[in-house]
Amino acid sequence: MSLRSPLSKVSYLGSAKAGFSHWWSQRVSAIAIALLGIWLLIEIIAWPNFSYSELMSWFQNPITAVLLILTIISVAYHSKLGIEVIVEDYVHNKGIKTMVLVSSTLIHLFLSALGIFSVFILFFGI
Amino acid sequence: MVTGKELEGALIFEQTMNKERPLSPHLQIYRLPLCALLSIFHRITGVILTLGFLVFVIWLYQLTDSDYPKEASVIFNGIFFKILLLGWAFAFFYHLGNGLRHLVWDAGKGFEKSQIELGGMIVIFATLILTAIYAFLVIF
Repeated sequence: MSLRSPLSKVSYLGSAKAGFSHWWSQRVSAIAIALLGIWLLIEIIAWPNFSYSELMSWFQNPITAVLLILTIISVAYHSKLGIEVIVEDYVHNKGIKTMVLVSSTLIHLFLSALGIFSVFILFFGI
Repeated sequence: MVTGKELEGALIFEQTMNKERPLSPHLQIYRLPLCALLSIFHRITGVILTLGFLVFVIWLYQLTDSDYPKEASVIFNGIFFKILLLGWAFAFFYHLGNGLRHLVWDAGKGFEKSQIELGGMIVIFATLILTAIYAFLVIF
């Protein structure tokens, strides 16, 4: 038996049953970023001493390329989920909220595609 | 006929009850507890890291440009790059530490008031120590 009123049902209020998935995805991507982020920060320490060709050969290491792509995917996903929660909490106008959320999703998608494609180009040295 | 007493009463009512009073939780005058401050800082560092991701991707894309000047990698020696890097490292370490705290809570542990205070202090000190170590590694 549902305790929800008929009005709340027809106006699509209440749980959409997507909350757990959002929460869980945020945790899984967080653990991925904890590992990948530490890896990237350690790698970046060497950059100031790199010449241009040394930097390019860093990108041409397959492990570097794979880890960079994984970092981009997990950061973009985690960031998208996090910005979503912040916007839902602080933007109360329904129209503006929807617009910001859709823009945020598309920008995150664009950034991850651009980042991954750039890693491929740098790896193959095109 | 309105008596003087009634008028006075109405005036007092007007002055005291009808004013726009601060509503709970009195955010302007209420000193946030450590846990609340850390919580809002988690969101702020999250947004800073999102901006860091944006800059990182733009930088990756710029490197693929063959017209990109080869000497531009010199910017990694610049103080500007190092300050930005340390800022983002600080935000990352804080977000990481406080995120781990969230994972502990998700496991249903650490909800006693003393544990929450202790966890918050550990996150602050860990952030400062990790940032200091990282600054040392980046600068020297």
